[in-house]
Amino acid sequence: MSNEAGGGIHKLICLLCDSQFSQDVTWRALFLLKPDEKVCYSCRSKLKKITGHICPLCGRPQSVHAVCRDCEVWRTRIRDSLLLRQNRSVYTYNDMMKETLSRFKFRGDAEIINAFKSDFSSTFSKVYPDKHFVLVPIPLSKEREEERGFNQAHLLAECLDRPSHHPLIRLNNEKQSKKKKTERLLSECIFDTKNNSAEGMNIILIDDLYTTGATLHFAARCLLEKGKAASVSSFTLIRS
Amino acid sequence: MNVPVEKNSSFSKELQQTLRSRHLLRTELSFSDEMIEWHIKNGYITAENSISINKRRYRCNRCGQTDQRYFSFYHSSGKNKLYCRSCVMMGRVSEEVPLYSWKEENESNWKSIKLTWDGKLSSGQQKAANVLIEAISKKEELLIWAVCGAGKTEMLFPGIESALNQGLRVCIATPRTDVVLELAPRLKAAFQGADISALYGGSDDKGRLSPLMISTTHQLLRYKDAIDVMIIDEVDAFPYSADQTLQFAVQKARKKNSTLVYLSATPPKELKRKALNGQLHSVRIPARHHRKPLPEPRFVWCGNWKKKLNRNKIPPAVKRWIEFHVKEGRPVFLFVPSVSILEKAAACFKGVHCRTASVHAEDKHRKEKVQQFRDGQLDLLITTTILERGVTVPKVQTGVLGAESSIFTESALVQIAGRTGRHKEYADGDVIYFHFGKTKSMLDARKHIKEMNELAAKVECTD
Repeated sequence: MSNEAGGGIHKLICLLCDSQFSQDVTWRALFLLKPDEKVCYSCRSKLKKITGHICPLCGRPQSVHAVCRDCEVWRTRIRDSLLLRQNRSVYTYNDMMKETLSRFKFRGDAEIINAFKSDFSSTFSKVYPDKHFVLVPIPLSKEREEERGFNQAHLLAECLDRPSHHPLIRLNNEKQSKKKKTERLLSECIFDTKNNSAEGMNIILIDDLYTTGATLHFAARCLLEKGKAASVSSFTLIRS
Repeated sequence: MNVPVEKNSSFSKELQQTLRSRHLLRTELSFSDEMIEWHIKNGYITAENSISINKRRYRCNRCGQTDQRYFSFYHSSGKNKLYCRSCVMMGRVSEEVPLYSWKEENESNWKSIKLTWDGKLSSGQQKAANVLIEAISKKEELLIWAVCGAGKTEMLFPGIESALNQGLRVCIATPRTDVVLELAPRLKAAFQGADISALYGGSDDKGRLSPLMISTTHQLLRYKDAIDVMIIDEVDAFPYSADQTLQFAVQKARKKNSTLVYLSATPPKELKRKALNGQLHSVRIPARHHRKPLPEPRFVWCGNWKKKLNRNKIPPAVKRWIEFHVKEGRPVFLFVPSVSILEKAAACFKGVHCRTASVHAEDKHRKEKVQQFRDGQLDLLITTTILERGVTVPKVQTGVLGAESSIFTESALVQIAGRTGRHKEYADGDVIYFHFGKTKSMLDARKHIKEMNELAAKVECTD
């Protein structure tokens, strides 16, 4: 398919910046044991993974290992037994990530999932090594899913190669990202589920972005309260 | 058109305004489904497949992409849906989503326009202007091959005026947003009172249709059969020459029967060949508007400059040359092959006593730095090839470090040389290619400039 003349053994096109790059030639790559890189070195280095100290509850990167203020607020608002146990995320929300996520979600470029796939699944198995968890991707409203054609949380859950359940039903249909922080914290009734839909399950919610945590906390509460889940944690692509 | 007369009263003027000469997706139209259905049924609107499939090969009908790597799928309601990644940033084109356009020919009814520019064209510019007017009336293709600093924009004015007054829609298309931003105010000043839109990603005019449009080639993807006179500025500039889809955009946006003008100082080989064997009408302006010859580049060997930069040293020949000009109060442009070398070179110049800045494509302060350089607040501006075109700074001296690098093609080197001596009072100056081994591109670039000067002397365009 290459339209450039000549070239090395393995010319690839970066999913994000469209420029041509080459992959290191190793024995593994040569025998097709290693999947092709999807993103060039320069773009890869601009997607910053979360390292160092984080808030033990929401996974926010910060300078000390202590519960952050937002999580303290959540603790006062929701009873301990109905609280999201913890959240972990892969990347920080920098400019490059904002651009990439908006192309992925709002422009609907589903192929971009391949840029995140390996980081998403390797980080997941690092922070949730147990196998007895059940994945629950956060659903989109019908209208939103029709418009976009896909649900980014489903695509992310598929990267993890484990069965996922869909007990949650989304009620209202406004975009979270169009709301102010206070509005988001107020709109408690965004999910519903059938009685005992998740009885005794240890659930990990999957979503693209943890911003205020409202979506995930309300989903957790719904699954714990009505669905009778044993515990709910979450894993997102990004922690902003 | 074969539209029944009695229905004429009921079509939507608003929808017509939005769709005329455009090529848009459903998501770009804020009208109800019933309304659009009705217009399709009554033959006002066509809806065509947005992706065509031919022998298992896909083609996006909005951007013309045929490279199969750009086609991908998303999984929706139990089915895999094909979409085009090449133009996804302008709204997703996927199968089953049609592209809409208004069927009726567009009639032009704008008021006559007067050129309010009071400058004077040089004899070379006047010649090109006359040829352009002729090409517009004959609806021909034309190549205007004019050296850097010939005053290309001004020589378009008479042609644009005549076209607009014939009710023809004119578009100046360029690959770069920078150029749109630079041209728009000049044209607005030259045609005061005319309806002019400047189209680039993020502009307020996006999607507008006006008699005179200045657009990035990318934005043209939203139009179809719209333009009577298409002028492509810097036809050889990246990414127009690299990207097939942008050429497709130009062809789609212009009418079947229209004028196509290529404008360049360094036309690509194919156009040059066509021009030389008569397939393409062309006019050459070998001299600058100030009638002085172009400064010819000199080659200076500077040793293994990469190694020197790695050891935090500037090649002495380069250093001496820059210090000489800075001392005389002349600003210096230094071009380098890549961003990584730019960073190294900028670090090396920290120790040298002059006001230095470096700028590359993704630099957030690019505009400010270039402006400071123009205003004389900087002595040395180190840059990658992004500033090879369009930047005019009086008295500037130009150097290329590592001129043998493959990124410096003949046309890049000619354009870079074109930065020097653009002002009529400082028509002379240095152009130096610092190299570690000459390349054919360097020799070709020098030959190109020499030939232009010889031609200019022969036809007495220079004093």
